[in-house]
Amino acid sequence: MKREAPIVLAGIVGLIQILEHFFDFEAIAAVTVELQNWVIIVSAFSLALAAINLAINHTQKISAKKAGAFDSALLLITMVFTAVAGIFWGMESSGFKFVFNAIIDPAASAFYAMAAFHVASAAYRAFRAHNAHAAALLITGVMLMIAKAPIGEAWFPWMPTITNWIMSVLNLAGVRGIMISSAIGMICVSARILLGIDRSHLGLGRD
Amino acid sequence: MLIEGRVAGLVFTLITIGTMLYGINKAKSKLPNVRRIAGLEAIDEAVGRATEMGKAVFCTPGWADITTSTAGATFAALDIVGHIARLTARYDTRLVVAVSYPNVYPLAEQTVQQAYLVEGKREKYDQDMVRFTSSEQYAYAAAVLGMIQREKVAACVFVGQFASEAVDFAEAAVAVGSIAIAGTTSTYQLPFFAAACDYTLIGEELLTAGAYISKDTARLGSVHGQDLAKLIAFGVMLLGAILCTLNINVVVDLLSK
Repeated sequence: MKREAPIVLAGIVGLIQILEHFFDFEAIAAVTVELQNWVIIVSAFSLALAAINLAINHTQKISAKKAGAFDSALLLITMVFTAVAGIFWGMESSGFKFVFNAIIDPAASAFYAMAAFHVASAAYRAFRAHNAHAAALLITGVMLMIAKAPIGEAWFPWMPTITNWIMSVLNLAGVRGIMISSAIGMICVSARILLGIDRSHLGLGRD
Repeated sequence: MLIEGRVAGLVFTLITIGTMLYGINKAKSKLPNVRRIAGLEAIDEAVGRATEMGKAVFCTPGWADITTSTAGATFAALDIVGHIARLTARYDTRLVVAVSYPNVYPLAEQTVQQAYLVEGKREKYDQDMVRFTSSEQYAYAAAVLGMIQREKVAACVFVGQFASEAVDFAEAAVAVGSIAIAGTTSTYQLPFFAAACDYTLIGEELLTAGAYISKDTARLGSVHGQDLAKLIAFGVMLLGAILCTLNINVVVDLLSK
């Protein structure tokens, strides 16, 4: 019963969501809205659980004086400050906005900028012609880079025609193949879970 | 009343579920053969390497939750997390799992805890193994990079849905000399993983991971059914392409209904 109840519940709720996607029934739409509100409530509980885990892990780190204890203290202080600012002063308050505008946004921008260096480093390792596949990758990669650069088009006016064909025929065919097979896979994974065939998320294995 | 423009979607969903159920039924008499997936085979090797080196194994089920269209990838990732947890429990290897979304956290915790229980190592399970980070993309990414750097892990497994942080993760793994295994259904991030990681699970390879690892009859059967659905989709595409070339738009019209 402990195992069957969540499976039956998931199956019913999943079926309602699927029906709402394909059919235009007012009654189903109303139930779906209600269920989506429940999702928000359940998510709030899981957020509390996750926040407790975060607080326990970092408190343990501080009390054990492990490396990075200062960072953990900083994390806990900002976490409490953001929560207090949001709950008591409101999400429009200057204190709450400060956390996003002065800490999160600049840090996120800096992090995003780092991706450029990581792409360069990954490309350096990938673009080594150690076999036929890697050589093909190297050649097409270099061609695309040349075609995308303004000077490349000036030097080789025919290059964009070739690279556009590579992108719109070869690349797109590959991408669509992956997307279609992934979509079918997603339907099967979801159906397995909703029908109770796949119960791994409730523990391990089917039984 | 059926919503206009979604009829073809409903028909194909029903066909896919039908082929899946057929595959499951057929598997009861004859187990389908699933081709070798190098990325999944490499997980055992990566955990073994970490064990020999006395270092930790790191994994993350991606930056996505279970209430969106990418839920399938997250559930498949949790299957892999469970498999890794069983291996680390068996070999007494340290495990670190970073979770981004709050609603994935209880599932990840349950999966790892169950894995240790199944291996008879319940006492070895530590609450510090499954760590919630943040659902903010770069806060999560920074936390993951920090964990990889600090723990000096010997194996990194990035599975699930990822965005631009994918390349940062792969490079962080390379920087600490770790084996990097990645898997995603996101076609935007696959090239980064393929370029930077040692092994990559491409699209549906990730989604069949649970069946491949568990060797469960029903799940393997569903993979066979999945392949039948793909064959049907391929047939429709081929027919559509031929008819479109002949200026007959029957398939296109049917699919847009």
